[in-house]
Amino acid sequence: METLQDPRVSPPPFDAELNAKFPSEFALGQIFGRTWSHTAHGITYKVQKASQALTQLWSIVKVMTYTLVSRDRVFSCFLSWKENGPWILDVLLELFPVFKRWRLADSDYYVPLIELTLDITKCMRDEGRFSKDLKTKAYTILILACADVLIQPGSPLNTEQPDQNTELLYCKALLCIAHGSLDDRVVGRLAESKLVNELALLASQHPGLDPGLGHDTDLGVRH
Amino acid sequence: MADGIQSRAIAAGVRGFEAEHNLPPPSTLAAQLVENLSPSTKSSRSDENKELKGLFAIIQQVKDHPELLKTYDERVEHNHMLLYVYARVVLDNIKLEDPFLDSSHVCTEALRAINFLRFTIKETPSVLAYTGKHGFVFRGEEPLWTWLLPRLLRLLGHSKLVQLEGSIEGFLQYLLLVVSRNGVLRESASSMSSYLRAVVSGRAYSIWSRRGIMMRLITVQD
Repeated sequence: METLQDPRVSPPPFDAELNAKFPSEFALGQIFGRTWSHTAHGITYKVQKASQALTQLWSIVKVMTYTLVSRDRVFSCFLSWKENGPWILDVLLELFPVFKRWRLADSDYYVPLIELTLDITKCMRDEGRFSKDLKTKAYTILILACADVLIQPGSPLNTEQPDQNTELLYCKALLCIAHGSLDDRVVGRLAESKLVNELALLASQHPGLDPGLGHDTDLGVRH
Repeated sequence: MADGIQSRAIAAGVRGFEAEHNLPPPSTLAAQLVENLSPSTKSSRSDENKELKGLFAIIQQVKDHPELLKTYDERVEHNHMLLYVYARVVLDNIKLEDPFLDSSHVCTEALRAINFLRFTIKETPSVLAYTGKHGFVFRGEEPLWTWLLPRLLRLLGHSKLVQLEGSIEGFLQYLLLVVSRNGVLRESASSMSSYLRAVVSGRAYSIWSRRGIMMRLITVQD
């Protein structure tokens, strides 16, 4: 992970040739048994470009999230769907360095990433079927995503005139984090170090800089 | 709860569902496909040509005499064949490496195929797990869903087929819902979940490892 974030390692181009076959033979062996290659026909496919692979990765994560946040009760009583919760959170965490590495740190990916994480976090917060650890993990990812979007030069909040929907989404995410901070001290401490302190640092380094949230939006100040 | 990305994707799925109600039965749709595509469908393999020719004849026969399908099992078997033919003729004929790919035409054909898949699966959900002794040239003993997914996933995220993303995502969500709601498809639900997770985990691993960077490989086991 450290190497992934090392600025000296230049990322490959977005449209680099990948030419990879999915799923892997190892994974198919796990799912269908060792003899799958003798009995199955055409159950893998090739992806030529890295750009397609990344877009597809994101699409499938969204699809799998459906089993988590859907109101349909059928998903909540299925073991394999229940397992999707921790898996999706792990994948979202892995996505940050991937997006950064492949220069996708713009509104195309950051906004949906926060939106999806917010959906998951609210779902886990409101429903009793998720463990406390899982909820904490969801809040953690949301905090990291919000912190990331705040400091990235190309992020949608760091523009002259941020999009109103993006600002609204960000405020919703902050409210959700504030809610989580009241319930869980771990979440509160992380939010303080990653968001409150970062914002204060940002403001002190750049006097007069509006950190994207507008005036009178400091959650730490009682008006 | 689901007020963001998910609600939009679900809405897209609902629109697809509503579109189903304006469609004729699968057998008629497939027969229309036969009328439109069979003259231009040529393969370098004679066994494949012979197979498709024979299947087109059966499709036409059932269209003209729907009473030939008497039981639910016969309907499942027939729908399996329809899906096989549709995927072979439409989805497998999309040549992504073609530099002159007509994106608009391909997207229209693929959307039509996705609607056809949805409609046929809705009529007989158990067709997804069909593995019968069909003897088709391009099918093994895998369940039908395992054979269909790669044909759609290879289109997902392609730079020239951006229009298809929402529809394929909606279709995948529909599949997850169908396999979860049908008792006979419980095993498929677990395998489908593992398959999709393996695609993501494998892809992440492949992208990272291209630079020789080691990362944690998320192993998925049900």
